[in-house]
Amino acid sequence: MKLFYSLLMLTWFGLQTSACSSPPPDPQLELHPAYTIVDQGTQSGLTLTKQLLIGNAADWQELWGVHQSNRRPPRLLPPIDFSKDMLIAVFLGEQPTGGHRVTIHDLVKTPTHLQVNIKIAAPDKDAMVTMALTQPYVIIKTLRTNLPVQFELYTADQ
Amino acid sequence: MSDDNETYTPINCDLHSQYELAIMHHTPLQVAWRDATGMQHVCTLLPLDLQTAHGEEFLLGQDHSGQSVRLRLDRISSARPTTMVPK
Repeated sequence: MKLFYSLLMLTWFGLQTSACSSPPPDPQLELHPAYTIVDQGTQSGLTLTKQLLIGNAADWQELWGVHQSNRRPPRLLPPIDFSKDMLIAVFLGEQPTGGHRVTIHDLVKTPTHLQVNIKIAAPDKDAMVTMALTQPYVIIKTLRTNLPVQFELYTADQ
Repeated sequence: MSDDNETYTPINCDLHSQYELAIMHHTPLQVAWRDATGMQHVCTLLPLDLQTAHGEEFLLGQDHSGQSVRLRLDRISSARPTTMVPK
């Protein structure tokens, strides 16, 4: 009888363990790269639609100058270490109202390229929005890579 | 992110449970968090454990480069399950 109960308990523990555990992650798969949001908003001096990759200080300074050209006084240039990081900037261009927004959904590193998935949101037709020109943008910093960068745009409901 | 001077605000229990589930199922999370300077960071991490230390709670995980990440739970502004990609 004791043996029966011991076996029963062992079976029960075995079942508990298998129910709670799950397989470890596949070593052939990897996580998406991390990034930091350097700047994001809806007011920019850059009024054109642009998707940019910035890899040096001169280009960054030039872009920041244009981006801050609608501000008095302009904000100071955020320092970036281009020896290890690069910048990805997305400007949505001038929009007729508020309610437009651009965000980075994620970065996906593949063997051939770095894909930047961009999510764009527009206000509903009957939404109450600010009646002002806006220039939504997002600038992020991520680890430098030699892979080509591809931009993919999605609308928020996709 | 490590400890900072701002007092810890306990997070919602549901959110805590979601982290526990993600840890148990090895579900990668895309986590957005703010550091002490207010800078927003986004990283995809493999959640490994939850830790309590000095009345503060932390999510422990591993990021894209294999580095250990320790995020104070009230600094996390969003966390959503995501996928991994082939190496």
